[in-house]
Amino acid sequence: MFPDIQLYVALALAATLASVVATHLRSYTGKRKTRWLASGTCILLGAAWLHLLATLACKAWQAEQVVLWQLVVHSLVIVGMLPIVCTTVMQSWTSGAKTAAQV
Amino acid sequence: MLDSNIIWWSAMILVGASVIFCFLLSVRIVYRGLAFLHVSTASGWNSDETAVEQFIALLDEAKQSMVVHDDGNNMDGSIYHNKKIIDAVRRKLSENEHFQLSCHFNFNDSMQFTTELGGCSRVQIKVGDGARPDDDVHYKIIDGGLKAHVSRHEIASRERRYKVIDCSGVPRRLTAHVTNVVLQPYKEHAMNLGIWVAAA
Repeated sequence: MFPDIQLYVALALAATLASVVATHLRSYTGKRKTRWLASGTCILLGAAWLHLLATLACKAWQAEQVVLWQLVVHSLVIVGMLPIVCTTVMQSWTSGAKTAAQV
Repeated sequence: MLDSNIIWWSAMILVGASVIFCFLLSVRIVYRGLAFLHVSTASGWNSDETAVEQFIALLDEAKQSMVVHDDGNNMDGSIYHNKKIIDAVRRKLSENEHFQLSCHFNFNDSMQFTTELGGCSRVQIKVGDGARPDDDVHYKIIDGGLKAHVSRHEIASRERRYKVIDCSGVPRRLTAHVTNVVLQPYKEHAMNLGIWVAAA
């Protein structure tokens, strides 16, 4: 019933690494293309970690109505974390714009 | 049974409200963040001649105000000796009765710009004591940050690296937010010098 958690762990770690690299690149260059890369990897990172958390929570819970609880926990975790992910992405763009305005 | 139903539906309403709140919050964050994509930052090198053209072009675009921070030292080829610039400022002041020009020069040198425009009521010219930080950034900002021309160069340099930061494409309701972020160091500097003119 539950997907392979190892897959999510691997995905989350890969996304974290990519995000760190992209953020460093962005801070060095301030280029728009790198900002998009940083944003994309942040979204991937957020999605991977959220899915991992939700899956772990559902597995730990072992509720009777697993599907329903899966839905509730996924919704709560994903939507609850959405503003944080959005803020991270937008801060990346904001600091990119600030860097680009330096001469 | 009834109690568990009430708890269940209360929990669901709470979850639904939280989901909607977080979703709307995210939309707002993304909307404000996307505004930064409308900021353009063209850059290049300019000479004395192109600096004059750029000053006049920026002045022509201004609707309310222009804030200038520069060396203002008395040297051949200085744009502040250029008749075209002085005429352009005079024309702007006569055409637009609300326009304000606010300047700060690092040097207290005698220049045509200060002698001819210093007496105008809507022109404020402040001068420093000649101290100039090594990494001094010079800027000309119009309409509270709608567009800015910033440059960094050695004193009396004939060629200067510049950047034009254009926030005019940003949606109007987010202009203040974007310009506050993007032009923050220049705005703070101008405020400390007492030459900042906020957008009307």
